[in-house]
Amino acid sequence: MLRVKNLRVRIHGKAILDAISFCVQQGQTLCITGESGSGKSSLLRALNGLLPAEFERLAFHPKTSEPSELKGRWQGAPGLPGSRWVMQDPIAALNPKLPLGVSIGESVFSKSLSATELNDAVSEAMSDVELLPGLAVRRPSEVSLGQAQRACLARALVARPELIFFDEPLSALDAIVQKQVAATMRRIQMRYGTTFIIVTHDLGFAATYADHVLVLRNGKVEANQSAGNFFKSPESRYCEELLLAATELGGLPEVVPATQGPEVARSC
Amino acid sequence: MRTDNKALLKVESLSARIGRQVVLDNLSFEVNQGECVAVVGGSGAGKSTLLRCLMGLTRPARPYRGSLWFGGAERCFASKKQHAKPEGIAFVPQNPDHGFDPLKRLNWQWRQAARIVTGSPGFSASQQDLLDSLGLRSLGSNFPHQWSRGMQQRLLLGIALLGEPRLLILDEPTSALDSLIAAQVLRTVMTYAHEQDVALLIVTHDLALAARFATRSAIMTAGRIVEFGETSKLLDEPNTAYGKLLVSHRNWKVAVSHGDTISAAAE
Repeated sequence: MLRVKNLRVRIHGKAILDAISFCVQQGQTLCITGESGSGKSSLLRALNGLLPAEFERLAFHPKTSEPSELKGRWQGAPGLPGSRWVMQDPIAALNPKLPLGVSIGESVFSKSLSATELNDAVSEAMSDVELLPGLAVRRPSEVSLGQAQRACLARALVARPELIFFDEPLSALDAIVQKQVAATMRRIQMRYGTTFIIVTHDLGFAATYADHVLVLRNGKVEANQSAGNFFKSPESRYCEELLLAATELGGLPEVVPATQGPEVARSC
Repeated sequence: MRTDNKALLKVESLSARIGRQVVLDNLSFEVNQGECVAVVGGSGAGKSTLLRCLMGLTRPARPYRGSLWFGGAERCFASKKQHAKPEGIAFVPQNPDHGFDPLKRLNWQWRQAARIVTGSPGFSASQQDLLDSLGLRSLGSNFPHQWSRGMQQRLLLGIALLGEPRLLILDEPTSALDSLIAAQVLRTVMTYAHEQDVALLIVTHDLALAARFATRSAIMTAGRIVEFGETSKLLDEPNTAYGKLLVSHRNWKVAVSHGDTISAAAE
């Protein structure tokens, strides 16, 4: 549904992203990974029109809304129509003065809904992300980090986007909450067939949830493989090092190749 | 479990509070010479407060009970006079952004640390050796941001090691770094600790990390240590509900198949 060919971002004449090509299928998960400073977040920003990007071609074909085709230069916030973004730090992403329910409802700016319809949409989104309805009146400072991140997820979900971008959605959370939120993300994806593009440096997460892995290094694509292949036989030496480092930290339980990655990735 | 002759650090019934709220409740644990111990718990469990108490900081949480033995010397947490941290404990913050002053050059920061430890700001050969062993050749007159985060973190480690500590405390050693750098830093620490017989106390929310490195682990929740014992035993049969939750969430795959809706909603 999203196909990007030769994306390039230049800032002050220096190419920080160069020759990035990839595609994502409807309802699948693409994990973008790489070390810090490799351009993961810049890629998300470019795809959302927050950085001036040049494309040979960008084609976005959602099922419900108009397809868009872009060529040449593009800088057009608010980004691709029908897509939403979940940020890394939920506390920074939510307006501290607004109750969660209002923050979630604000995301429906493109449709004209009556107050009751809006309320229904908000409470449905909240139940989708397993937030208790009573939390709608709380402010971000009055809930836990995990609940705040769920609210961000609900805010992205309320407009029924077909594509959701995640920028390190779990790294602000502790281990148990991480896994619970990840499970919620998976359930949402199964229910609505939403496409996920997730920036993460947690390869354990990618091994479990990704269908496709894109590894960046210094603004270039280092590997672009299906998750099964990536964890079994990575394309380059650098990817092997990445996997090795993750295993060394206990992030990838056991020896992942062949045993874990593939069948989990395909089961979605 | 009294292994007095081996225990390097021993904390007994440490309690602390902020205002009237008790944030640490009756913590006891010990670290043996040359051993690696992990403290595992979710956010808000009191891990960082525990570290602050060990380092002799009394704000915002003030310890009101408990005592600490370190290398034979005893310190009472509640006494007002002995707040200074015991000699021989060094601390590496989780993130170079917290560890360095961004507006001072690195060699200045190194000299200040050296002056506290050795009394003179001079740059000695042993310090050069330490830097070499960390893979950092010279500090130059760089500011922190001119170095990569991995190098910054290694330099922080170097500063912690300046005083030749017998116990090294690492606060969330992996969470702020990407996996390549984190693995590299941890590898350096482990090699050093092994060579110099230094004990390690790792504070983390990631049980997988603890399982990888620690011989013994303490599981903390809501200001208490609910379990303390050998990591392998703890992983095999956790005794408490929280321990079971942590263990079952150690791997990503388990979390998917379980999908525990109830606990997620009530979190």
